[in-house]
Amino acid sequence: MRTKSLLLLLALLGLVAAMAFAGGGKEDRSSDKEVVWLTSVQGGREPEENVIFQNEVKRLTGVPVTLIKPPGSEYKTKMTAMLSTGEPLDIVYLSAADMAALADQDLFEPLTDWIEKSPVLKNESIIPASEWDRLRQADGEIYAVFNKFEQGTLAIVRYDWLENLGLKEPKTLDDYYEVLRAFTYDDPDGNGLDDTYGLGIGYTLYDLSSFFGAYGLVRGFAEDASGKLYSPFATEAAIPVYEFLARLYREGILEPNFITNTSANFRDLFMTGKTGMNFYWAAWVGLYNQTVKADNPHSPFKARALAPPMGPNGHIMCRNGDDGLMAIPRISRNKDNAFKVMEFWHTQEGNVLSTLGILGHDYTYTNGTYKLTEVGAKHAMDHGAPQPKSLAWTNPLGESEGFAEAAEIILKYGYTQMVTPYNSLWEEITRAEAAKIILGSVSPRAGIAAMNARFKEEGVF
Amino acid sequence: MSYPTALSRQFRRSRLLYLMILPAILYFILLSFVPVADGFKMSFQKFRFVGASEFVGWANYLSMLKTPGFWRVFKNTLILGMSNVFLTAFIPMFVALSLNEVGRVGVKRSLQSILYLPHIFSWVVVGGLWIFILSPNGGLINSIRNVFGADSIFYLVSEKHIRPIIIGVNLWKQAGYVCILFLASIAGINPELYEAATIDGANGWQRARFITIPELVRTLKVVLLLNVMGALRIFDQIYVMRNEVVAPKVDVLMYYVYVHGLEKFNIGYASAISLFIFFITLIVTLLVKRVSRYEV
Repeated sequence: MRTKSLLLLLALLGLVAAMAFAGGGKEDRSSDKEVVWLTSVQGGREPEENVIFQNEVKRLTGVPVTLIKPPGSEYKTKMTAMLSTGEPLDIVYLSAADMAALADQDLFEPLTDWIEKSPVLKNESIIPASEWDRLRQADGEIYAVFNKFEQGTLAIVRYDWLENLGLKEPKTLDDYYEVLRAFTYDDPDGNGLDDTYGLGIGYTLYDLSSFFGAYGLVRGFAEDASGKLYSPFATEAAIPVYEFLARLYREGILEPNFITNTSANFRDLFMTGKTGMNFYWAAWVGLYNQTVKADNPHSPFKARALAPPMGPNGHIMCRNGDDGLMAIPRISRNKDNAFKVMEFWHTQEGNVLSTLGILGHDYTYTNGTYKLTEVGAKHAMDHGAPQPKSLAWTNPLGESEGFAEAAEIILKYGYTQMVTPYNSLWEEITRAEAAKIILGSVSPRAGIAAMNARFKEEGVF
Repeated sequence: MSYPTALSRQFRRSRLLYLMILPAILYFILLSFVPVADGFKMSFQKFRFVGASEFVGWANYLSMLKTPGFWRVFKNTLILGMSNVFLTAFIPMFVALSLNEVGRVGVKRSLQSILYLPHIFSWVVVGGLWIFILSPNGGLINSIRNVFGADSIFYLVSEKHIRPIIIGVNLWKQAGYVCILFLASIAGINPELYEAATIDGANGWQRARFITIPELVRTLKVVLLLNVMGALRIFDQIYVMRNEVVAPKVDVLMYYVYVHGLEKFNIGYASAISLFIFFITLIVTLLVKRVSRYEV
């Protein structure tokens, strides 16, 4: 009887253990050919569309793909969790800054040889060699492929408000001040109400690189003559810019939620006529126009890009976007197909997929003519790369309203922020102290001193 | 001839019951204890995503103790956590006592539902709601201030206001749930005690003080214990409501773990802090359990 109980106990233990391990083990999503693609930007605009997107990639490349697309706010957490637990991923989307932070982890496959042999990626009429050189790591290898042309951030203005008030495009910081003041106090929308602000931004300084660019100051870190890191926004040269921003806040021209606004918040403020200017990605010039006009085709709304302000010493700069990249983890079991998909992304067909979207769902193609469907119009030609990296790309539907001029401004005045593992720390510290300066809680000099003290405390320099 | 021990006799009598709780034990071993053991191991490593991680001994713990940022967030966690422990125990208790005095059942139940509602929403919703209410531009509080001629205050970036706001919003969210626990406890009190007290001439406050509150002590101990266990693990609220300006006042240990582990990829260091939180919580919980054994 005692033996029977023991045997019964052992059998039950074994059954439970078997269930636990069978149920708790990782699902093997990657077969011999399927590519598992972790991304936050590429793919469908809704979760349901991701499935159609996967099928489209398979149709065009022959490679079955599974897209894992967490919400943007959770992406980094998900990516870190999946990489650290050895999930069998084949393509991972990440920023250049994250790539730099992970450099010592030896996580990704070197792609230099594959790129050299690729008739698409090595083609200089698609991606120039100088662009690949920017991605080379200290060991001379390239570990990732570009996602898209990153454009940059610049001033986007309600051009109809400029026209309503008879104002010219601002050229200097003083001109910008006059325009912003007029947008706040001169009833630019003609509704008789005092319900507008000149400037609406978010995350405190996002993205006012153009204002700092007027004084030749680049965002993030730079190296001085001796190769030591420093933050240009934390130098005395930045004081005039902080004084300018504090003045905008003090005079009620800067929308007061500038510290807690998210990108969605300040975009909404701009599209609903609460603010007359923001600083955002060049592609959003077209997206703003498309989005507002999709809801109200008769709206007077007209978003246009402005050249950055010229400073007293003739500086005029705006920021290029950080590269978004695709990399193949070393533990990928399907590297050949993963590279095939990344290479496809830069072909004509891949460019159409990354912009217009999916044939039959986002657009139709009849007798050589592309036409957006109702769904495609709502998706605003953005399925991961609204502006492909390829120099050979021309949008068959033309660029969205205002984008071409914005892209020209970025090409002319854009600079690329230096990539360091401390970029997120720079954001945290600079925004915190800049907010206090703009609110008037501390002087610009004290705020800058606090920034440098905190950088030193964190071991940056 | 061997005689069965008391333990083996008990096991034989209740073997079916032990077999039935075996899956739950295995669940906790696999999904709680094994990850904690894994985290313990990682806290002694310079963790690598691929390949063998280097054993670094106590380096992560020493780094933690030497970093001013760690002590700052630890202090914030203690202030916010301990405030939550006591306020979300005693205030809901007095709310429950007040609610118990409401005569009309319909009104009482409506008030209970209203009080409980914030608890069912996630911190994303609650935090977003309060960010809007406290907004300097169009927010409810500042709109009322403006009507009376006062200037707007940007509460969420004010170092003077942010801690009371965080504690107050947490109380607003959790009070309803804790209140329900106390109300359930009050419902279990023998009504004959109240009848006898009324006959003896006791008023409402005397009945509450000498009957209701002593009967609630047991529930209060449970609530305090639960609150203490969660005190060092505040995260969601801070993640939603923080910003860089007030970060030095509100960043907590769990957020610090999140930043170092998932944003800076310093998983060994983050594991060390997590283990620190685990052991401090364990020690404080055992202390509270021991202290609360004494009858009031």
